[in-house]
Amino acid sequence: MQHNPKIESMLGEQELIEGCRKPDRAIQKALYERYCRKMMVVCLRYSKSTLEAEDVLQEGFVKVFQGIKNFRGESKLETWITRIMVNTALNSQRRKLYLLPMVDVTEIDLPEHEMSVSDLNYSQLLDMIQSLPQGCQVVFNLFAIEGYGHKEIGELLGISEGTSKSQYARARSLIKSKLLKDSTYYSKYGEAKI
Amino acid sequence: MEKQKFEDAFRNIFRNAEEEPSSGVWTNIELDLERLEGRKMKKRILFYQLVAAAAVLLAVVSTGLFYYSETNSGKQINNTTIADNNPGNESLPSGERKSETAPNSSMRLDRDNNERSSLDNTQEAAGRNKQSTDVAKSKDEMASGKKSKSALQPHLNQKGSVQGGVALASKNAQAEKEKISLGSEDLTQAMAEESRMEANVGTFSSNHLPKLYQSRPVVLVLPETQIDEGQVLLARLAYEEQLMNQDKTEKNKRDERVWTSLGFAAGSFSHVGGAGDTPKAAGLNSFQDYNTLGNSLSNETSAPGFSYSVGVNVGGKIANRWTLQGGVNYLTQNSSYTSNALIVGDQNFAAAPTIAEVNKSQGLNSRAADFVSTPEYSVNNNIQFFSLPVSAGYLIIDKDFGWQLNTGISTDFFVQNVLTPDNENLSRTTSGRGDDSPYRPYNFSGLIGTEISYRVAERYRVSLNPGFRYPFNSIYKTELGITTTPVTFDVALKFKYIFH
Repeated sequence: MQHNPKIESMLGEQELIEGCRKPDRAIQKALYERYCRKMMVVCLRYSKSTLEAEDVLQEGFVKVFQGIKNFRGESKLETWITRIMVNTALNSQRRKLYLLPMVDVTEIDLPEHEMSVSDLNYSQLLDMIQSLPQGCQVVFNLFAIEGYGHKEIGELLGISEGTSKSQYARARSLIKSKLLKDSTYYSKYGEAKI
Repeated sequence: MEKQKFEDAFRNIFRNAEEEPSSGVWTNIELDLERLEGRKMKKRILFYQLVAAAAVLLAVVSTGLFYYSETNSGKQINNTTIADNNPGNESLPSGERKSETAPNSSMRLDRDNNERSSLDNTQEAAGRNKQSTDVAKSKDEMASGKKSKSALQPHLNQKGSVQGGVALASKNAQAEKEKISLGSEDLTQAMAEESRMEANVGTFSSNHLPKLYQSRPVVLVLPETQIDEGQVLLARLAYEEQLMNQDKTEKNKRDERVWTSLGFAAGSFSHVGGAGDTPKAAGLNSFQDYNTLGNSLSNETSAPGFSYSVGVNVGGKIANRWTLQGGVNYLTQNSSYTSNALIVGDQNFAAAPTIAEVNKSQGLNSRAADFVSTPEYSVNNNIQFFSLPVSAGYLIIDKDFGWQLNTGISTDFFVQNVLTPDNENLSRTTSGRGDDSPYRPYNFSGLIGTEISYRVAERYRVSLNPGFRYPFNSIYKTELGITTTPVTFDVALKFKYIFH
């Protein structure tokens, strides 16, 4: 197929799938172009740097193109690709998680009313997530954004449900404290007040 | 409830967030896919090959320039520097001087720095001697960071003379004058001088060349190497492809797809089956000496002989081990037999009786009496054909040494039959094609044989083809009642030219 970005951008999901199954390189690129930006965000959430995220993105898309023959259409293509990206990210993080085993931590709860995530933009939140410790970052992503339960997370990562919960709580606390630091509350009362 | 809001807020913000990855990601994905699919990115690799070639060219040119500059610089030293072995002169450490030959640019810079610091000291000394102008100048030049060994030399010489004092200058004045005028005849000596100078760099001349003749230094500063994984992968792919292409080219070069051949064959033939049949259909019963004439004709049809052929063939591979060949051959079969009959005609015509003549006589009974018996004499029988053989071959060995089995069919077109009696008083008889001819105008023969060959050059192959030829039908027309099927065994020598 002749490479024509305009035509490719108009292709339907099924056409993209069929084209990638051939495989048609132009269609593969079209699929990549369609989802790469969203998937880049997914990868960034699980990584500490853009470089690391791009490695995951690359590996993930290669898996997508290799595995698209087995895509049965039971979910949306985007959902399927996102799942592959998350799994790829988890695989790449697994070694680090093994080196830094997750343990239960005590939740430090902060007043809820001081937290206003909606006021922040995507970049600020991404910075917060990336600044979390490795284990917290993964658990936070899986629970808060991907919507997995703690039991599933425990199975995915090979940790106990309790550990997942405590890691999430820690992540939440850290984010809260960052939010508070950025908030006017912090500027008004200072760190000691929190 | 609040917790839920917190997570929802995160989810909502990230749901539609987008971030542009760098363009290199797709390139790497494509590369991975290409590698996985076993395909090569020819265009991209070609581009990188060009870039690599340009880089190599640049490196070669740079190195050449550097080397050229260094060589010229050395020559300049030969011609301008007067070696003075006076150990009293201020000198640079010899170890540093030796390190000049090292290609490492940083070492060169270190040396330059050392020289520069030496010069700083020199400047102080020069200041004390109230000769700071020249040295300051040299320092300024050094500050520009572009001072080479040869360019430095005069200044250092100046420095030597400054510290060594006037006595040194006067002591060596004569020698300096002589060495300044070094000509080509003193080149060897000059080189020896330079070697000495390398060993003891502390001796310098006060000679100072004009700037125009001072060589400009070329310092090769290599960029810091950063290994780019993508480039390494590309290079490896390019290398693999190159190897693959080499193999392919090599294979193509060795492949023989179409060829032509020129061949000569020689062999013998003998008659089998109904050979020696008497041509009863020719109505010989009415002749006076049936036995005599019958024997002569029988001898003619059954005599063994020799077969020769020459031809041109073309062939090609139709499958990995199968070939198909065809061509055109001129075939002649010679035999000798004895006859004791003559055919006698008008105007003192007398010739060996031929089946053709006997065949004619059937319709012209009046001529039957023209056959007479004679003492035995020898007759040479020559039958000529044009044949169009087509054969298929199976290659058992397909290397430089080749061996194949061939089988096929040949369409033989009769040309003429010539009977030459071995007696000067008897006429030669020629029978051509046509209704009167006893020979079939065309016939089919089966071919079977083998071919042993050797590739003597990239495009040439020589082969020996022993084989059998067997006519499916008698070479004579059916109505004559004679069945003659000469089986030929011959060996052909063929010269093949391989087109590609």
